[in-house]
Amino acid sequence: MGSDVSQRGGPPALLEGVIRVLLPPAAREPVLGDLWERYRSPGQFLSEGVRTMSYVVAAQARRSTSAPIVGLQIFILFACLGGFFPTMRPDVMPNGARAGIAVAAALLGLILRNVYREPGSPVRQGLLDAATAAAMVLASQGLLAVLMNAGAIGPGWMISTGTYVLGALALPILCILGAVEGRDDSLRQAAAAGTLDSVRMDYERFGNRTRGRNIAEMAALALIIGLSAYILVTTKPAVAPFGWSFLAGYAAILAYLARRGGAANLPADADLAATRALYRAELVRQDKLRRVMWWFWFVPLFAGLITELLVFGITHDDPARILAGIATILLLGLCIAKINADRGTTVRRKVASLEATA
Amino acid sequence: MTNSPTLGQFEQLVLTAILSLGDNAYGVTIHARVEELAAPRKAALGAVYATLDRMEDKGLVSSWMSDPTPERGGRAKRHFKLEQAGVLALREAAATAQRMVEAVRARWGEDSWEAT
Repeated sequence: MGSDVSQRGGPPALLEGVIRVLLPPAAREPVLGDLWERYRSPGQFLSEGVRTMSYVVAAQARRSTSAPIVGLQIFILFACLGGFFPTMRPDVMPNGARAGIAVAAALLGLILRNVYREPGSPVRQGLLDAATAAAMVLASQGLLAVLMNAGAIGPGWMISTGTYVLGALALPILCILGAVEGRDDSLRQAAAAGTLDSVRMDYERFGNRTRGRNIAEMAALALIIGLSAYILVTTKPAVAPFGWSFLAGYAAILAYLARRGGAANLPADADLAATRALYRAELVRQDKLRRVMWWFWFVPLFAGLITELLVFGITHDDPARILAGIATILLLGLCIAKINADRGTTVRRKVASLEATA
Repeated sequence: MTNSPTLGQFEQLVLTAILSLGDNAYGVTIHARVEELAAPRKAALGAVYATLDRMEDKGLVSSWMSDPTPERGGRAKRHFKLEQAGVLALREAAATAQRMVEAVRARWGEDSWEAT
């Protein structure tokens, strides 16, 4: 290893490789270069690398994490893991606490995934987000099972087996959140300089992204329709007619997305003015579509909050549950409105930059 | 009254380091200059990165990548420069510091610096 150091004039390759893997991709190149430049010994390199990494990871977590998206991820996971269900027996751990442990694990995984996110297609990002959340929930339950078997904790800490079916409903929505609202740097960039080729290329990239996201959204909708229909048929709940009407709405949206969800194709003979006009119109239309879709995606969650918190609180004379219902409904609405507002601002800037280059 | 953001002490040190380094402001040199300015206190390299990221998000500084160099294992440097908002914020912080120095001198006299 010593000869390795002298030949390279820097840290041992193995040590450098370890620090390289631990550093977030967005900061890897300059930070590793700085650590190389300051290299004095393997011990100094390792110690400084690890200390620096903790700051860089925290900074990257702050930069890559959006509060309203995290809010929606918490809501959807907590609801689908049964956190809002009333606890009927006072001698068992509340459903909210059991779901809270699983949600905390999933959230840790999602934040770390944001930190170590490599560039990739939106669909892939969404799928990896959903897979990360699922893996972390399962890992947390596995850890609880080990602790329970070892006698370190009592029974009732784990979420019930039946909840996993409901929990699966969270995955398509997490996937869509990652695919649709994941950081889109191209949208944040100013419009390309005013040549036909550059604007056309920019629009083609935008079109490809929207089509990819549209496919992901349609797949998620189809999965939710299938899963929900299965739950309705097998459990035959009292609110089944309500559920079927939801599913009919989902099917209508699915049909619309199949027809007009992606950005329109650019005509081959479109000149610069026509290309810009189409680009502006599609940016605005896609933004409007997203606004409606986010509210639509969370309609079942709103319905769940009303029945599980508000209605239950009223019928069981539980003011705390009523207040919790009002607060969570407002908070969920605020998260959706904030996501839509943030994206709207970015879209308006992009439209303005397109007009500025005209 | 200006609308420039209020800077923390460490942010002031990092902005001053970038200003004084000119075209040679990147992680290693900024950290070294911050330690000079903050002496005898030490500063963690990671704390400098975290502060630079935060200030870039606030629009106080901007960064760009240079070409890779062999003494860094063939890796690029991330250079920083002050943006207009950073210049204004630093100017305001420096003016505040100047007024503090004058107030301390008026009370304790010129010798007060040697006493510390």
